[in-house]
Amino acid sequence: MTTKQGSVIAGILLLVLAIALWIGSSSFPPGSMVFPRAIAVVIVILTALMLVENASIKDFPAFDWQRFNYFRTLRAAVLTCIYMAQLAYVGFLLSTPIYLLIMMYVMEKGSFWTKIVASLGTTGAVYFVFAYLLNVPLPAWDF
Amino acid sequence: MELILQGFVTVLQPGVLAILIAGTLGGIVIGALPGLTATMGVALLTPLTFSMPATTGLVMLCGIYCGAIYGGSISAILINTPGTPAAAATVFDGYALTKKGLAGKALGISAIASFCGGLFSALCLTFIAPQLARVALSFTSPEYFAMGLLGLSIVASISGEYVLRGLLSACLGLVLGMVGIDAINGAMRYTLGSVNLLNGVSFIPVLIGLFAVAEVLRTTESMLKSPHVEVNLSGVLPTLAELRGCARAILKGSAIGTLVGIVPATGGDIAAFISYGEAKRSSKDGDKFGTGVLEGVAAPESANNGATGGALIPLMTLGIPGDAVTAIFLGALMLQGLRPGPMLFKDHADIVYAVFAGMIMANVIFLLFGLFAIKYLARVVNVPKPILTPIIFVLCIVGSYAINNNMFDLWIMMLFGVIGYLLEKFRFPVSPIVLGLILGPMVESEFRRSLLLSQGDYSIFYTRPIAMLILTLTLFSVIAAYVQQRRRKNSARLAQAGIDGAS
Repeated sequence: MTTKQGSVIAGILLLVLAIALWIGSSSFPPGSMVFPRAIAVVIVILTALMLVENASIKDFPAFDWQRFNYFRTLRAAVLTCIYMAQLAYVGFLLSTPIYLLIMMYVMEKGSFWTKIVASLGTTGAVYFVFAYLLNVPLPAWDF
Repeated sequence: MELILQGFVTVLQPGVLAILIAGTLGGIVIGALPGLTATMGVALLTPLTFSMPATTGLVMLCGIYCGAIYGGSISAILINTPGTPAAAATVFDGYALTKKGLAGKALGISAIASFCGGLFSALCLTFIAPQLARVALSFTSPEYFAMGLLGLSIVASISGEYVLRGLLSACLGLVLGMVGIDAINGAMRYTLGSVNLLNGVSFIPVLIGLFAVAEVLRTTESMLKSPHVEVNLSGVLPTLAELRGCARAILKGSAIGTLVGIVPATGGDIAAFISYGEAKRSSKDGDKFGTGVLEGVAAPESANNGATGGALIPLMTLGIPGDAVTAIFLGALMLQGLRPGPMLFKDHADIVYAVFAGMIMANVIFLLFGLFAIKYLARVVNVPKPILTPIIFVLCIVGSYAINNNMFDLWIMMLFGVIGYLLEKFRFPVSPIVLGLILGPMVESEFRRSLLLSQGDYSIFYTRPIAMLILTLTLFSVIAAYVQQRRRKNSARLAQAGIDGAS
């Protein structure tokens, strides 16, 4: 995908957003609907101008598959979402070292012991700072 | 004067001082790590300040900010990679000095120049800001509305060659700012039936998503190994003759940095390049710049830290953030229940002067670290990315969770991380989203309050001289950005035509 193609997709999404803003504002009291509608109009105008400008600007590939490993980025994002989803049930102390260890392996194969020490050390340090020093409760085991 | 002394008394309390030292150290480490910017550092560590008293939290942010800008020079000098964009100009002579075996000397001059620049700008902040705030005390809703618009107009300048995309990003921020209960009449807007959105979209998770998660997602694309640096530094303290040789560059850099920092939409990176250019032009050894001269390190480093205090002047006095870091500062102030602007000086002078004292002390602290602990600090450039990246993910998650102890905020953070990552791919700047999100609600509510005051008469915006002046400045700012963009495009077209003609 190129930046131009991406801009067209972004433009379509912005137009949908503008329409949703306008329709969504119909139930607001008069004072509350002015600003959303004004923004909706501005979005439509700016999107139209952007799409016109898009035709004349230099195009670039948005993703360089030869140089970069986007599958690793995707794996990192998915693993992080899984970690976030289970955090409320399994808790921070148990799930974080496992998440960190897996993520470090996803990033690069290498010394197991370095990764173990880094993941356990980070979990302990973050827990100590937030839970003890700052009194911010972190998600705990909930079974 | 009494207030300034009171600020120092607050900052020098052992607990506050310890937090400031920790913040400055954290800032230096983040700044020194290539790929982690000052913006990301401040965004990532802001959640640590929530559970602290306002003064302590804000003083810590000052430490992170000043430390990160200085820390950027460490990797610029040692591994030829600027830790932050503000240290990009330091690479030219900093790394050349390292290749000559003078890394210690370069790091020493960098610490001293950064300190001088930072101290000068912090003093300017301390003495100029209260005068400006006094003028701004007469502001009411129309002036605040105009100031908000002026802040938003900065979007046009910070969007580089993609002004329209920047404005659209700002609109996205404005849309996010509308979510939640309307402050004027209590109507619920775009909450999608979720109680989590009644108070609006949480600002910090959006910020962490856009500036930290998006950045680490980009880092995962490539896990190139950084060269391992043998950190063997000696002769960090410069001689008196070397200091004398750099004095002019440092003085000019400090002034340039502070002035550039005050101008919204500029920042440490621009200040550093201007200062480097000026030092090169006015130095008798100008032709040696780039081959490893100490002045070439002193000039950009004094300027980029000079911009830190300057950037806080419009924020503290008028409530207008000039860039992403000051936008985060604004968010942190608002989360502590404080609204930057002239009233802050009147109602919370103790906090304001503690921040000023914190800025001054942060510079002293990083100077001490830079001169006496650099051997140990420099080792952070060797931290492997595959270990660091997952740790940053965890910090992002914990930081977002810490604000409201709410899982919903984590999903907001991740959503905006992905949005920020994709927007950057398609050349949409992300900083305007933050400006829109912060300034949008202010612009809307002040606009509506103004109309309530004038009973619906729009002339209130152009019959009040200060409001009119600020609105004119706003218009000028947008036009100037547009003209600048056209000029840049024309130059690029002419350059391309020249290349085509030559081939």
